Amino acid sequence: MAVIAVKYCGGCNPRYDRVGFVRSLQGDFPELEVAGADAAEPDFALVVCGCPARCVQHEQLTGRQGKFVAASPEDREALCAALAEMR
Amino acid sequence: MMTGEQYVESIRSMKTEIYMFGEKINSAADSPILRPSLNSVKATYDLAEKPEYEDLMTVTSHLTGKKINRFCHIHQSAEDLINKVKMQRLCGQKTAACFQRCVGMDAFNAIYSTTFEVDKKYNTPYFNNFKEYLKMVQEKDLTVDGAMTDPKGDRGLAPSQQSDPDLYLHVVERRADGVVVRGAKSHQTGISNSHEVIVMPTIAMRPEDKDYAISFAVPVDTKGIFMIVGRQSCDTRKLEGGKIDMGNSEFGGMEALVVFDNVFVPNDRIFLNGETDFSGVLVERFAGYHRQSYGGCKVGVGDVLIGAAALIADYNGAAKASHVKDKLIEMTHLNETLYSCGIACSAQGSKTESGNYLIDMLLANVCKQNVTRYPYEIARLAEDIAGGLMVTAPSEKDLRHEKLGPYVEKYLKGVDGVPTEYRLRVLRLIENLTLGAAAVGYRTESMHGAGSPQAQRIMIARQGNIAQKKDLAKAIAKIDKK
Repeated sequence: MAVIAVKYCGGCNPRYDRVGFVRSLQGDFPELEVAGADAAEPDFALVVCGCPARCVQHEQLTGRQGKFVAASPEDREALCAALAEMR
Repeated sequence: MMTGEQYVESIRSMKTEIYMFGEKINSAADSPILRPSLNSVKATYDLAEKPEYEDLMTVTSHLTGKKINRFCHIHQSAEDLINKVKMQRLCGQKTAACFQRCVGMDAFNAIYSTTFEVDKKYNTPYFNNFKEYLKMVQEKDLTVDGAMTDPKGDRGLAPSQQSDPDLYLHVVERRADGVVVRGAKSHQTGISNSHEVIVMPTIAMRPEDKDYAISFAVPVDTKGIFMIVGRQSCDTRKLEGGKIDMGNSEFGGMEALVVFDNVFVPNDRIFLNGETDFSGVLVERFAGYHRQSYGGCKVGVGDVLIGAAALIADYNGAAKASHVKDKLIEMTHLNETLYSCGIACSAQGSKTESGNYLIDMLLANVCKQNVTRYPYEIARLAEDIAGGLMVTAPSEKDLRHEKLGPYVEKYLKGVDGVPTEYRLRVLRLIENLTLGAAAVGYRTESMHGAGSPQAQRIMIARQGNIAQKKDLAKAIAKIDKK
C-alpha cells in the first residue's frame, strides 16, 4: 500500500474544504494510505494549501515518487493524474 | 500539549475564587454563564490537535525544541508574527468570541525582551526568572491571564499620589524570599479560565512610584486572589435553558475585576521590581503586541458576522438587491483592512536585543486605531441587512410553544425552503455579536481593549516622524532646508 504524507496549511482563511479534498482522494485511490506530514519516507507528499498564498513551509517534506502542492479544488485533476502515474 | 478535555479538567481542579451575582462559583467549567467562555479557550487546545490547523496553532519552542501551542511562544521571526495574526483570525472564525489566551502570549513576548534589557542595565535576574517560568508554562501548556490595567482612580494623579494607594497594584512588603502585593486589576479577560496570572504595570512611572513598578506571575488560585465577574449584555439568557436566544450557545468571553489582597510572590516569579525606567518600555511593547492581535481576532469574528449578514440576506430573500451586495462588499473591505494592518505590522517586525521579534509599533497602533472604528461600522451594516426583527423576534420558548409556535413559524418565515428556526438562529447570532454578550468582545473591547483610541493617537504622533515628512515636502517644493 502506497503512503501519501499530507501537510496542511494552517487554515487561517481557507477558500475550500481542505480535509474534504483529501478525503475525496481516498475514494478514488483506495490503495493509498494517508499519513501525517511526519510519516517516514512516504511514497508521495501532498501539501494542501487553503488559498493561492501557498504560505505553508514544506521544504522538509518529500515523497519518493513525487510531491504536489494543491491550492484549490481545480488542482484535483492534475493531482489525480500524478497519483495515477504512481500506480 | 493538553487536549481540550484535559484543559477543562485542569481548570475544574483549581481552587480559583470566583464571585458572580453575589455568589461564590465553584468552577467556570460548571457555571452555565461562564462555561461558554471556557469553551472559547478550550478551542485553542482543540484546534492545536487537528492536522489541518497544526501549522498555525503549534510551533517549535526555541527554549526546549519541543512542539508547543503557539499561544505559549516567543516570536522568533517576522513569519512568526504573521502566523500569530493568522492563528488569531482562525480562532476568531471558530468561536465568534474573545478566546482570551492572547493577552498572556502578548505579555510573554513583552516581558521577554524587557527583562533582557533590565538585566543588562541593572544586573538583575529577571530574564532567567522569566525563561524558567515560561519553560514551565510551555511544558504544561498553561493558559496565562495577562494582567495590566489597574483601576487607576484619579487619572490625573500618579500611582503614588492617589488618596488610596491600592488603586494601582503595588508592593506593600518586601521579604527575603519575595514580596507581598496589594491592589486590583480591571477588565481581566479570561481570568476564570486561566491557570496563572502574569502581572505588569499599566503606565510609565517615575522613581517615586518604585513600589508600583512590579511584574510577576502566580497561579490564579494563590491565597489572596479573588475575582468578581463582570456583567455582559444578555448574560442571563444563558440561564434560560434554550440554545437559540443566546445566538452563540457554545462560545463566549468573560472579564472580571481581580483583587490581589496581600498576595505573596516568591522571588523567582518576579520579572520587574522597582526599575521604574523600564515600566513604560514594558507597557509600550505589550500594548504593541496586543494591538497587533486585534488585526487577527476581530477579523475572524468579523468573518462570522459578514457570513451571518449574507445568510440573513439569503433567508430574507434580499440577497440580489444591489445595496445588500454593496454592504457586504463594504463589510469585507473594512474587515480585510484590519487584517492588512495586522499583517503589515507583523511583516515589518524586527529583532530585539533579546532575540525575539517585535512588531512595527507605528503600524500596530494604526491597526488598533482602525479596530476602534471598523467593527462598529461592520456591526451597523449587519444590523441594516438583518432588519428590525433582530431585536423584536419572540423567544425560543414562544417558538417551541404548542399554541404560539405555529404562529411564530408562519409569520416569521422568510424564503421558501428555509425553516423559520434557521432565520431566527441567524438573527440571534447577529444580535449576539452587535449588541448581545459577544458585543462586549466585538465592539467595546475593540474600542478599549489594548488601549483606548487616544492611546494609539499618542503613539502614532510619536512614531509619525513629522520632521522627516516636512523635509520631504521642502525638497519637493524646493525650499532650502536651512
